[in-house]
Amino acid sequence: MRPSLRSIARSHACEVSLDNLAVLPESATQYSPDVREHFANPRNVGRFEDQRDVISATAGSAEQGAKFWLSARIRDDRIESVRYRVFGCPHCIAASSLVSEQLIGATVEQLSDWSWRALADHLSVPPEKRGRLLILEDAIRALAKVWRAAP
Amino acid sequence: MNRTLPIYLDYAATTPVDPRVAEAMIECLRDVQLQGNPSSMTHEFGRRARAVVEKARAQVASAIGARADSIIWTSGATESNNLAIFGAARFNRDRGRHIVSARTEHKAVLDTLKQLEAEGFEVTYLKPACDGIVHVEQVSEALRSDTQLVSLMHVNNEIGVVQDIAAFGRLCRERGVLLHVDAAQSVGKIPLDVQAMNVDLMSMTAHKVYGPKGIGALYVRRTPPLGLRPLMFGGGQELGLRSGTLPTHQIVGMGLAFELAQRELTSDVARIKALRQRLWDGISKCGDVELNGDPEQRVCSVLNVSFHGIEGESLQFALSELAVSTGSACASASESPSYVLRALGRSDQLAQSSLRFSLGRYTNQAEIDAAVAAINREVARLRSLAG
Repeated sequence: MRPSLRSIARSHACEVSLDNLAVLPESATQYSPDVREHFANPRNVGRFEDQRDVISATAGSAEQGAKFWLSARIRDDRIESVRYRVFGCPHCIAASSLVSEQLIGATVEQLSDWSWRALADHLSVPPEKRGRLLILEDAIRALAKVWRAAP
Repeated sequence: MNRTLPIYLDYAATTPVDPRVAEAMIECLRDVQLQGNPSSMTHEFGRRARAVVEKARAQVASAIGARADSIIWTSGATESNNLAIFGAARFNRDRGRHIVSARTEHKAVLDTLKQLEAEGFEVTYLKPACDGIVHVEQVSEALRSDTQLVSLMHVNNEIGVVQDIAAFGRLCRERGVLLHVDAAQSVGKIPLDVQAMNVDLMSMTAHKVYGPKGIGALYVRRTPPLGLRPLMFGGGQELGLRSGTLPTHQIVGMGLAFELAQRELTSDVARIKALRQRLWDGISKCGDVELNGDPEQRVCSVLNVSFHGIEGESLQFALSELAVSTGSACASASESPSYVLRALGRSDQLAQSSLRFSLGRYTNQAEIDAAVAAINREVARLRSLAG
């Protein structure tokens, strides 16, 4: 079998620079129209003051490349509105903004079952960034836990 | 589609071609008298082409205080770095197999050295201080009896700090070690004199000095003569050091670009420095920003700034109206943070939230003011998202 170009590059001492050329992620600099729109005009940014009908949770860190602070107001066992703060890439900002709209009306079960996959597809999040959406998933599920534990 | 182009603040990646240079190149391409191969000395076409090549060689030599016959044409600074480092190391391999360089060198130097390590050479990579400066004492301490080459850059491409080449030159000359300098970022911004600086080999390129891409030069000390093992073999052009037909129009472009750079150095530097100060004053208003690299010992045109509390990719995307760079152009868009900023002790996260602004001959005050407004607006917006 003939060796692939990549394997030749790997066996060469200058592997790093060759690899960099080969994997320049076009996706990292290209964002879907939805990402662009939510990045430019993020909805529902902010934080609810701590009150009886408010729950909040965080996940992530700057070192991990993304951090989400979520707070939600509950009415009649459903989410009435969501506020968030976000540190992260344009995909993270757009994801937070979109989620803040999508979670309106959700029950605690729906929050517990929330998965990053549909959002990743909706925003065309490249595979190398999906770990950041998992952090958002952690934040949402943590929110569900707080909700369940709430008196 | 009528999209406004971004404000160009990426002169350290490459400069636009000066219209005077473009004119000279077009003229050269059109002139039938210059259609010959500069190596064809048997007829008038070749001799005339050779004459303009030699004029350009003198122009480049004059810009760095060198003899014309010490200039070897290459395809750019990467090839010059390769030719200097491979060429000297392999030619002198019996004199010693140790080389001294620094962690913050350009990839064209680091990857060449990495290849030499695979060939049995040993390389000491100096760690600069957190201001990016390599001190001559560090170089002195790293020299060994088997050190044959020191390779250090003049101006760092990412952070713009200027190394004390004259001090390195004195030391290396005293110790009988060759000194190679990557000067891709310094021509036209800092006066250069290879003789006074005791430089043995110096890499240059045209496209950072308002000349064309694809042409560069290597200064090779001639007295006493210095041996190099070539990388390219063939027609024996350039004293056998770099075979290949000489690209007349490219060479003419580089020659004029270097002459203009030398002639206009003082006025260009004063103007660009004032604009850079204006940019820094404006960026400082964001608060929680840090200048990377020594604030004084730096080239007039480069500002590398870390922005606290902002994710790097969002910062870059938010500022898409500015053509700026995260680290060096060849390194950006890759996920890994700048190895230069890491070597200066910046965290991965802060290195990723850093931008390099580089100004040049055509930067004007209106552009700087527009850039400052955009930076202040977007930094405030992104920070408010993070609370």
